[in-house]
Amino acid sequence: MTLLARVSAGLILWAFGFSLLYALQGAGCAYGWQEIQLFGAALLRWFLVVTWLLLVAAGLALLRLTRSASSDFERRVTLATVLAGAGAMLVTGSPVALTSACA
Amino acid sequence: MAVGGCSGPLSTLDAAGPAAARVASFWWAMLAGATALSLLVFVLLLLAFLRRGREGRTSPTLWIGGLGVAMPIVVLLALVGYALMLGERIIAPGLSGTVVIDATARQWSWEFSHRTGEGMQVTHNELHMPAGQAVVLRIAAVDVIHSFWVPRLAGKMDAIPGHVNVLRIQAERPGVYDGQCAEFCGSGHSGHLFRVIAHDEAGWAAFQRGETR
Repeated sequence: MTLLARVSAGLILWAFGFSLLYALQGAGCAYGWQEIQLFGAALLRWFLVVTWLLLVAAGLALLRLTRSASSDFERRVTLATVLAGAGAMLVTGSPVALTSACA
Repeated sequence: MAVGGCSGPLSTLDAAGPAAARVASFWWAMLAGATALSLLVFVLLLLAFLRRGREGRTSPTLWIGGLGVAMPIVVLLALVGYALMLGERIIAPGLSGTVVIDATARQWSWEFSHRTGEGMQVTHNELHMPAGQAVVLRIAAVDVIHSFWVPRLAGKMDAIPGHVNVLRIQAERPGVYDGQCAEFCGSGHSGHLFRVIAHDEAGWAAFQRGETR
């Protein structure tokens, strides 16, 4: 994996994840998934929350990239961008658990 | 001139309903915070000029990690959290027994319709509602994206083709409140205006009977 791909992976995953949640929310509201109840919450809520948590976990899993860094500088930059991406995913995705989905 | 924007028909700071009042309070809190942070920066800048040339004893970690990263994250998280809570209270789904009005935007007019005992009542560019009680608006559009905004009563809500957005507004007192489209919607956007007329009890009853006031 090239240096550029390694150090930008965390942020690219966040951009992808944010777009995915956005698309899922729009599609879910359009198809009426918020009307289907499952284990005390709407099916759409489950979809969004599980996707969000998987994205955060995937973001943290990228920490493995720091192990294969070829220099200390590369390791530090990768660590910073992976943590920034995972943190951004945690915060920008949190409304799927906290707010109304299809008001 | 500095306080010229604090009143007037389109001022968010001259709130006339509970939702707008909460938005205005949030704005004042943000202004206070921004003022405090600006003062902090100015004082630090002044100190840097006054004490230039001397060896600093503060570590770069405090400047970059503390004041540059940690502090903005804490401030922004608090603001986002409060804004999300405010947004939930403004949309407030599931209100029964309140007046429900459909607001439909098009290039470039607004159509408001609500069901009365005598059928549908439709008005153009004038939204009639009772004062002193919450009104639920079901907002949509027929052509492009518009945005419903009555600054003195509530925050903005997008009017989107094919999707109904819900907004709860309330006017504390009878009166006329100006509204405007808050999303650029074409060459007629600047004239895409409407008025909200909040009636007292007798006026609202008369309007529902179809009597023009």
